Formats: sequence, C-alpha cells, structure tokens
Amino acid sequence: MADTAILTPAPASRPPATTKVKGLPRVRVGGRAGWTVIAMIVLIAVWAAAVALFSPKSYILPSPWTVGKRLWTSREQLIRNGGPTIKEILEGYVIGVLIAVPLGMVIVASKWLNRLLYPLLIAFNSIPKVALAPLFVVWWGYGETPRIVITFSIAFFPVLVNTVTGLGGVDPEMVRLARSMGAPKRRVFVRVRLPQALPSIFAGMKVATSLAVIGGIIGEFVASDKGWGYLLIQAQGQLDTSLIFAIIVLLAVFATILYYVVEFIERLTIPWHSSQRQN
Amino acid sequence: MVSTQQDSAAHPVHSDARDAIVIDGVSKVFRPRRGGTVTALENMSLTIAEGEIVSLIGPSGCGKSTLLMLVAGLDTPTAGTVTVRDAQVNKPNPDVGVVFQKDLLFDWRTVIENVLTPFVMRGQSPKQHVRRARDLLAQVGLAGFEDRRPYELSGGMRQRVALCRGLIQDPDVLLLDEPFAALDALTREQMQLDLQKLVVGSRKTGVLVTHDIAEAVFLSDRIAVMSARPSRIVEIIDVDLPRPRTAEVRESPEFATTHARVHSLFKKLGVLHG
Ligand SMILES: Nc1ncnc2c1ncn2[C@@H]1O[C@H](COP(=O)(O)OP(=O)(O)OP(=O)(O)O)[C@@H](O)[C@H]1O
Ligand SMILES: [Mg+2]
Repeated sequence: MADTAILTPAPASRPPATTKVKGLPRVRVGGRAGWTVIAMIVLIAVWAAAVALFSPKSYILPSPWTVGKRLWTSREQLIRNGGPTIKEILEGYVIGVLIAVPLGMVIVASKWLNRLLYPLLIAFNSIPKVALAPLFVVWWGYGETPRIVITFSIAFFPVLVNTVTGLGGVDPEMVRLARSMGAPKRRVFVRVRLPQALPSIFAGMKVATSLAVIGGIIGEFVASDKGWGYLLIQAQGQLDTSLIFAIIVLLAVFATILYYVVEFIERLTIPWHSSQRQN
Repeated sequence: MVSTQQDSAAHPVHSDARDAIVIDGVSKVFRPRRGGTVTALENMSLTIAEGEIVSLIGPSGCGKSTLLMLVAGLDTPTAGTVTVRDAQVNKPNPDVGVVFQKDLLFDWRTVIENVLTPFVMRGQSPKQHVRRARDLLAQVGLAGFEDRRPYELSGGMRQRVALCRGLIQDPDVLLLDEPFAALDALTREQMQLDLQKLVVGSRKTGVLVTHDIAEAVFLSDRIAVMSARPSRIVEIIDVDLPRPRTAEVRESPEFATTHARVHSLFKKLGVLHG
C-alpha cells in the first residue's frame, strides 16, 4: 500500500487532468442493459424450446410467439387497462416514499416517537396487507382510492425501515467528529446522518418498487372494473392463458423500468457510494 | 502522584511559554449499562506548555483516548478540571483540532470539501478558506487531488486529508489520537515528517496519543508514559533532539538512548515481558 506517491509527493502523484469530467456523474446502464437483453433472449429461447419439445396445450403454456402476437392483437385493450394500473402503482409508491422517509427521520430524531411509534409500525407491518384489502374497499368503495392505499401500505414499510436503520446505523465516531467541529445536533443530522443513510434509503426504495407493483395488482384483484389486475381475473375465468402471459410480460417490463428509474435517481444522488462506483 | 511534580517543571525549551493545557486532578469513571464501573483515569494531572508537543504512550485501555476526549470537550471528567488556554473545557472548542485514529472522511464529500468540513459544521461558509485548504493539501503532497473522492485515495492519503482537516481552522491546539496507527511503516514516517512541518512550524501545541515509541520520540518534546489501569503518569521523559528533526535523527545516539529509556520503562511496568 506504500504507493510511490507517498515517497515522491506532488508532481509525480498528480492525477491526469482528464480522468474526470465535472458535472453529471457518468451513468453506465449500457453494460447492465446489455446483459439484461441477453438474459431475456436466453429465457425466451428456453421457453420456446420447452413448448416445442413438450407441446403442452396452449391454455397451459402458450409459446412465446403466441404471447407476442397476443400483445399485438390485444394492444388496444392492454393499453387502455394499463393506464389506471400504472397510475395507481406510481401514486401508491410515490406517496409511500414521501411519507416513509420523513416519518423515518422523525422517528430517529425523537426518542419518544421512536419508542411509541416504531413498535406499532412494526406490528402493523407484520399484518399481511392483502388481508386489509377488503377493509379498504369497505372504507373507500370501488374507486381507485383503496387500490392506491393498498399499494402505499405495501411499498411504505421497506422504505421506512431502511430509513430508520440507515439513520440509526451511523458510525458514532463520525458523530463525535462532527461534534468536535462544533456542529449542533440538527446539523449533525443533516450533514452526517442523512447522507450516510441515503444508500440504505435507496435500497429500501428499490425493494419497494416491486412491492408497489404487487400492491397495485392485488388491489385490482379485490376491487376493480379495469386495469391489468382486473384483466387477469377475466382472463383466468376464460382460460385465456395467452392474455395472462401478455399481462405478466407487461408487468415485468413495467416493474423493471420502475426499478431502473429509481436506480438512476440513486446514481445521480449518491455517486460516491460503493454500490455506484464504476470500475 | 509521581507525575505531578515532574510535569509542573515546564520543558526547558519553552520555559517562558504560557500553559496551553492544564489537566488538574482529572478522574473519569465509566458506568457501563451492564453495571459496574470502569475507572479509566484517576486523579491525573499534566501541564502542557504552549508550542509543546507531548506524547501519551501506554498500554492499551489505560485511558489515553479518554484523556484526549476530555481535552477536546467531547466528554466531561467525573472529577477535576481541564483547562485549555486559560478557559475551562466544557464543550468542543474550534481552537482545538482533533484527528482520530480512523480518518473518518465523509464519502459524499470531495477531498477539499472534507478538509473544509469544520466550517460547514459550524454553519459558516467555507468559501474564503478554499485557498488555505489547497495550500495545506499541497504541503502534504495532495495537490491535484482536491476534487477526488475519499474512496479514490490510499489509506495514507486519506489520513493526510484528515490531518489537513484538523488543521484547517488553524487551531492552537491539535489533539491526535493514534492518527498513523493504521498506516504502514513507510507512510507513517512520511506522515510524521508532514506533521512536524505543519505543527512545529507554526508553534502549535500538540498532544499525540501513540503506541509507537519511535514515533513518540521523533515527534515530541516530552513523552508521558502511562501505566495500565488504574492509570497514572509513571514518568515524563524529555526528548532533547534539535528541531526540525530530519529522518537522520532516527539514527542518532540520542534518539536510541531515549527510545531505550521508554522501552525499559515499559519492561519495568510489566507492559512488555521479556
Ligand atoms: N464509553 C465507555 N464506556 C465504558 N467504558 C469505557 C468507555 N470508553 C472507554 N472505556 C474504558 O475506559 C478504559 C480506557 O479506554 P481508552 O479508550 O481511553 O483507552 P486507550 O488508552 O485509548 O486504549 P487504546 O490504546 O487501546 O486505544 C478502557 O478500559 C475502556 O474499556
Ligand atoms: Mg485509544
């Protein structure tokens, strides 16, 4: 580790001027997206091979081509029903994040809230949210409200828990250092705890993306007359397997995009974190 | 206490200097949650003159860091008082810079932002201090690294950034808690030279906690040797080596004699068994 820089300081160890462009951090989705495409192709190939080999009845397992064709022929219906689903998922997710992060901060900042609220929230989290869905329908009827609330209640917790653990898991020596510089508690929070917790908060937000999609679909299973979840129930009743698969494909694509959008924001926000360093 | 008489006799080099740090009858008792008490320091006294560098050396767990935290105002003594430049310490003081064993750099701030952190933490604008930060970094061989992030640096470079951060406010007193312990021997020697340049040059008062006898001899005017808990200062050893000290000083017979004195003291204390 005794790099030569230490023995011969300044000029020799000066880094080349061109290594880093100031401004936006370099975002490299390319490599990973490339692998995603390859993985998808392999998956579809295996699927196609299985169908060709075992030729199952098409209501058991349609071929990729059948599903692809179905995506096209039913496009009008799929798009029409996709709108409300996507809207509910996004609303539930965003509201969940917007409430969970500040609430987590308050819980960590206040000893009393920590003692009172946190155990309650943990207990609430252990309830399967699906079981609440009927209740939400009773309370809010068949509009989109109960579906947003279900999405919210599922997406909310990982963000909250990660915010609390991230803010609480700060290195006490870091805090001591900040205090030795004369920082009051509030500034220690903003300047040390919060930045150090961001990676954990983002991890929670990424987990929450897929949970939000689950929440949206469950909400539509329970109470809806439109949306992909509703369509899934319809297709099930008619043994319309290719439509089920078409919706699954769309849900997977949407969930993946949502995940990567959050990851993209993460890269912009915490380019310094080890998970974001390119090499 | 054996020590008290010895330390009140100020070091000859600074005999006319004021007292920078006065530790007077300080005790620190910890009460861990699981019960019981740990007496880290008991009735300890030590006076450090302005411009002096004193090393605290002693077995692990004897309370060196505790003492430093008390001087930094990050903890309060159970009994006794700590006075820094005529003011009793009861809270952190910007005139006192602290460098910890871990470099504790903020990953989300660039090198220069890390050096400027003390201003931000006090709610001041760091703008007018950028020049000084650059100068400090250049003095420790980090020119050109200002906009890098800490993770792009080696351990030694990181510790140098932490040193610059401890010096950015130009504190009169610098407290160093084993700042180089995590570094390899070569880097450590370079850092000791850097530190001497930055601290001795500006006549700062320094308290250095270390495990390394050679480091203590090389950097200090006096070495306070502490015993295991309940710890006390067993002896204070003067280091009469001319300043500025160069790498060659390490080869000199005076250096060897002082080193041997500290070493034999540890043997006598049973810290080292032969
Ligand atoms: N917050 C604390 N609560 C309880 N005991 C503590 C606390 N801090 C320190 N101690 C105890 O006080 C004693 C002195 O600790 P201190 O960290 O000052 O030792 P040290 O001399 O710096 O040791 P080292 O050389 O290993 O760093 C130890 O026995 C330690 O267990
Ligand atoms: Mg220590």
